[in-house]
Amino acid sequence: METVVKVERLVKRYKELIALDHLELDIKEGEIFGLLGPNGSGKTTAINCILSLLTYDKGEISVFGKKLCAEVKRNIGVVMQNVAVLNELNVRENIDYFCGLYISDKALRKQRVDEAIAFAGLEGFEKFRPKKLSGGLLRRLNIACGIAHKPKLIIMDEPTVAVDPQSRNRILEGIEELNRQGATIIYTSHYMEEVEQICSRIAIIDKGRNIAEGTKQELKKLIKNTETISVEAAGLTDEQIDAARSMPHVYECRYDGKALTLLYSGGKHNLTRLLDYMHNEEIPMGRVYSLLPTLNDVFLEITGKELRD
Amino acid sequence: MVFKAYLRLIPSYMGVAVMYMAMFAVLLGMTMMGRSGLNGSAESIDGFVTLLAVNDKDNTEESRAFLDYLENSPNIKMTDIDFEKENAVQDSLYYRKAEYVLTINKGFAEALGTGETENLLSSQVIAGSASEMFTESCIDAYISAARLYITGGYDTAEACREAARTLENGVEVTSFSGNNGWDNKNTGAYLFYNFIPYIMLMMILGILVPTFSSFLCEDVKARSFCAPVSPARYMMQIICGAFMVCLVSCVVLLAEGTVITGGTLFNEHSFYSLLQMLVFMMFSLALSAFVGILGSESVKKANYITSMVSNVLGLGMAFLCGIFVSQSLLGENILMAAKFLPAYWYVKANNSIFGADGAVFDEEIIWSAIGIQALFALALLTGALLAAQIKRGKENK
Repeated sequence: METVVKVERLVKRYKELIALDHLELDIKEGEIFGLLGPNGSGKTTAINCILSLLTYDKGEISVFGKKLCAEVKRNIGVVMQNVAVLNELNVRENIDYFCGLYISDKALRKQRVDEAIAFAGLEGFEKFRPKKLSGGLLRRLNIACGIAHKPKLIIMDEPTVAVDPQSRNRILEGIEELNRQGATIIYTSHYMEEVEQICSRIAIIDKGRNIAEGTKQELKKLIKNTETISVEAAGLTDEQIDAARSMPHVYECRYDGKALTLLYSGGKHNLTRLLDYMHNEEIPMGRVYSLLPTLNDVFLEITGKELRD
Repeated sequence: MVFKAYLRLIPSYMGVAVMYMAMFAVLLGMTMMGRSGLNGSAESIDGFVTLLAVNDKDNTEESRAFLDYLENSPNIKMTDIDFEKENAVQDSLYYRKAEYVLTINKGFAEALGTGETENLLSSQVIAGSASEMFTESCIDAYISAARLYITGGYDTAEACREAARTLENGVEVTSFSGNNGWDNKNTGAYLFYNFIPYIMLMMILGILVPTFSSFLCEDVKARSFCAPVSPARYMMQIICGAFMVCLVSCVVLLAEGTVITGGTLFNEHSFYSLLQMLVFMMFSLALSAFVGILGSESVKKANYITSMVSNVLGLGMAFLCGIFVSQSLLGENILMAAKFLPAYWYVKANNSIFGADGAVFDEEIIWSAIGIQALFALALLTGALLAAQIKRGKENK
């Protein structure tokens, strides 16, 4: 696959603060590439550098194999973190304005605007001004403004911030649809669930550095934990806890008097084995949870802190 | 596209334009009416008459001399009342048969001779009326003059006659209408161009600042710069749009002025008036750009700054620079400070163009005043672009 965006050794400083510290990214054609990191990790700064909205101190950035120029910009769509629309224009006029920055042909633009309105589910709201729209509709308008000109590369910077779950799902489905239509997408977020749900490849960023990169499976393989089982069980004896700890593939065992939590590294049928043991010992049980590792676990294990710290 | 979108924003602020145009129509119309009223005011003063009824209880040579003085006063008309009749005075005042009823008390001559001030006269009048003030001032003038002659050694009767003779010459009043010989047919045009800086500044600020702020707010600007539009081209298109709006505003104001002044807006010196209107328009545009850039962080901030600048600068210039009050009536210190504002130079040139406010037509004054206004506009536009540059630099740091 052809490289769409290549970022090499990118450094950006804000006085003493190093926002980007030799960041490396290689985004391939047809991917939904996730940039995951906590607030302040440098995601937006990286995007702004790629879009030449910010100057940078060191490094190289190429888009479609070229430095960013007007010709390259024509193939890029941007959905900013903040809703960037003109409050005096209505929905259609806003989409038409931003689309018009790329497409001068009036007939083609009208067609694209109609398609964007349909894609974002804004039919019936064309004459509404942004102030009259709900938060979810406003975000959808923001997306429609960014994608109306049918770009090959779409950069979305936290497009679901402050959006209700229903609108969020609709937006995520829309992004997958855009990808199916052939667009390469760079998606930044601090919501790991979203990134896990839609991204084919993910880079985890912290303090301006790319600390891990790969598919979600590849990232999860980077850490020791493969499964976490938690069982509500009161009054376990020390012998019973030791027995659980000594089960195959268990590398950590925690008991707080109410629930037993076992962390596994590999192995199959871990839950069955644990339940059999509890049953044989006639230990009364409450609820049982089996959790697979998340990107937060990956982040936690690599950086020693939570994604949403 | 930016240019077109900019023009699409303008209808949202048409309310502001309509409001200022209405205000302009009222301001211009009322001032024109006021001016025409002032021209007639000299006649009104000449024709002012008080209906005076006098009850002479002293009936001496002195009191009769005083009565003669009052009868000969050009603004007093004597009226008779039957003082014997009950309620005659009240009825006369109520039915406006008399506006001032004066009683010359018994012992008037004697008291006047001894310099006594109490009990000389008594009066009944509609309190606070112009007749009261006018008649009392006539009486005071007579009594003071008579006392002066008595103190100078005249006997009382002779002093009364001399006082009447002195005062019968009257006072010649010259009414200053403010036009100083300038042709009245230009009143409308002069007032129109005189008010233009205030109205244009307020109107252009009201329309352009929010539109500048919308386009220059960080999010929209950044989003637009992601497209194949250079920052210079983006800014240029916005300024072109704003220039177009300003031109249309000028045309609309001129049309409005033509209607209100009855088509007397254009004369042989209109070239200068229109040129400086255009230059002041550029100043207003530059100021709007400057304020718009400063307030582009948020709509709230833009509104706050617009309101502050409109009130402080708009009204400040109107009062300090001679728009609402003639420059000839302003103090030297005020005029010295006003020289740092373009409206001062605008009004100065306007006075010279119309030969108003004591000024005479002088091309040199007009050109230099217009040049200074252009420099103000240029400095402000440079400042606005510099502010935009600094802001962009700050965003990068």
